[in-house]
Amino acid sequence: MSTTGGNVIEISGLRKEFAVGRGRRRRTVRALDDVSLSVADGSCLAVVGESGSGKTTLARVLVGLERADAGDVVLAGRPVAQRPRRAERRSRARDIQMVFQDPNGSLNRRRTVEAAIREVLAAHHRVTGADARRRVDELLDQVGLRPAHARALPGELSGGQQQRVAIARALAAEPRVLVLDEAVAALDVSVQAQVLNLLAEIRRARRLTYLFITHDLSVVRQVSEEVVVMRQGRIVERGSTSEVLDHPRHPYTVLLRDSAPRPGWRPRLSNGSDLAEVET
Amino acid sequence: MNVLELDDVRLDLPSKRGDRALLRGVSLSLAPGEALGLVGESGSGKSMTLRTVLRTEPPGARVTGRVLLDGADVRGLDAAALRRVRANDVTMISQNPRAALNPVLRVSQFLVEGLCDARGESRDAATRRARDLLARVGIADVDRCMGSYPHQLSGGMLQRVVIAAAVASSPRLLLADEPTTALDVTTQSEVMAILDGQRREHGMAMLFVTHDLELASAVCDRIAVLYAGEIVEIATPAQLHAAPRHPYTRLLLDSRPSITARASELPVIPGRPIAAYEVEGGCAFAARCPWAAPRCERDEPALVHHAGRATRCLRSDELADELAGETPGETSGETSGETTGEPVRDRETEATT
Repeated sequence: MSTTGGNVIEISGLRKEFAVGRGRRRRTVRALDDVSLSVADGSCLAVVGESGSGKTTLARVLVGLERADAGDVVLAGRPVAQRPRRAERRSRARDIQMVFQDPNGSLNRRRTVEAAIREVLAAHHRVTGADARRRVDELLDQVGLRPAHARALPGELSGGQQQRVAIARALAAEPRVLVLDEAVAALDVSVQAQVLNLLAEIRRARRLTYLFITHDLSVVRQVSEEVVVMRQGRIVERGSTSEVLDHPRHPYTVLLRDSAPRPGWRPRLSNGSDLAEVET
Repeated sequence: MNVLELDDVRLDLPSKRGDRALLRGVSLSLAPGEALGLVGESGSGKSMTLRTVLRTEPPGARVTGRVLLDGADVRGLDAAALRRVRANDVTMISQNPRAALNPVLRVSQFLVEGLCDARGESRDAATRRARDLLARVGIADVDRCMGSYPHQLSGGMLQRVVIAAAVASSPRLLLADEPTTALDVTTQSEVMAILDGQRREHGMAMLFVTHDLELASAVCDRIAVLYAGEIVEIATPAQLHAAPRHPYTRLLLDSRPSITARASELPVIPGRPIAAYEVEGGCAFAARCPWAAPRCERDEPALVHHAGRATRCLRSDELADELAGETPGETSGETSGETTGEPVRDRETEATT
């Protein structure tokens, strides 16, 4: 690992287009338009944007669920092949894991929590039997669940507990990078605070690097050191979290910040000139 | 007279494991033109409370208590009378605008049909009115919108169409169930501004269900905080923020990360929100409350009204100063002191049982 102290993620010139619509309405949408960024080892980069900004596509390209049309991804010092072989995909999975908004999407509702975690342990680290049993208990403890939860099916757990299981499962691969795609967006306020604290604690304890995708600027403030703001496939602003949130430069960042409800806030119509400026 | 009055509304839903309580006696009132926010976490009963008003609760649900619209109990209306109420007096906006629109009808057909059927207007008059309504909810290209099918419009645009349809009959009461939760934040701000403006313009009262205390604070005159199927506190947004009287309200305010300042650790409410049917006597919040005393687990607190506010807490008087503490940091010091290190571990209710 030659990247200690350097960047764990280096992305440059990433481009991705999707074709949408049919017949006369067919057109291409640029989901990623020349996106470049880097994430320092052990830090947390927040990616902020609304629907259609390309933030989820960025994450999917990064973990290899989607192939970019152009651009390079370097993960932990190794260039990521655009058409990886099976072994390469597997080694990438040990470097980077992803947690989604809806834990049910990554948990099989007919398999117990223990089976879900064991699957990852066996696939990536050939840990089985009593060793696996012990690892499962350790992982559950790290995410604030009890050993008894190992026998539960996802349906028997609350939303917050399910998300903890999804996090434990991602940690089972012992990745260096965790990509969190709106991972706390669906949680109740009181449970969201617990999971945010948990994620911060895990990052410190395991020296993990986070790419934290969210639409919520309060969450950005709480979890990240650096932030990029995306709009229509492009990065429109980047910088340290406090700098960008306290002194946003791009009108879209200003609009995002002004749209977030907080004490004393009033909803307002963005007037025409505001929008026109942002559209360009 | 109040537009809406709920008097000890209880709702039980039969399930395989016997009846489950979802509402444990909700009482509230709404004056003409007033906006009341119903705020709570999942399972608190906020949506269910709203649904008892138009009798759209799940099939099989047993509702007791009284729901008075302009003094008349909606629970006792026959089908025709209920239809009249839904057409003229009360409208509802839900989280998903796509569910409110017919996917094979153009927006023009949807709006005009509604106006002709419910209001008996002529097609020409209805079309003119529909165009006017769309313009008023901030739709710039009315022609394009009128000619579009729902799938061709964005969520924010569709929610505006739904708002236009909802205010068309100038109802006395608007029921809004998380109308902006599925929208982007910038769109949320616009849609809320439009909803707020239309509400004031038509002088409608509004019952606004949301999980977002700040959003409710921005558009409501009063806020009712729900927990486990009952109201734990009612106050104005200013009162709630300056001096919450119920521990749950205080912790709810504190546990939301702030956009302006970072907390070294967020104050947490241990455990998870419980549902009404999980309450076993005593105060429903006692198991998660850092201020709970032995009697809190034994005695059930009543909703006590005092000087325009209402609180359901046995200790609210003794805790008043502590709960009103200005900085969340102070509170967090006390509440998270016992939770640091072991944030939730031993407290989360065993879900497998």
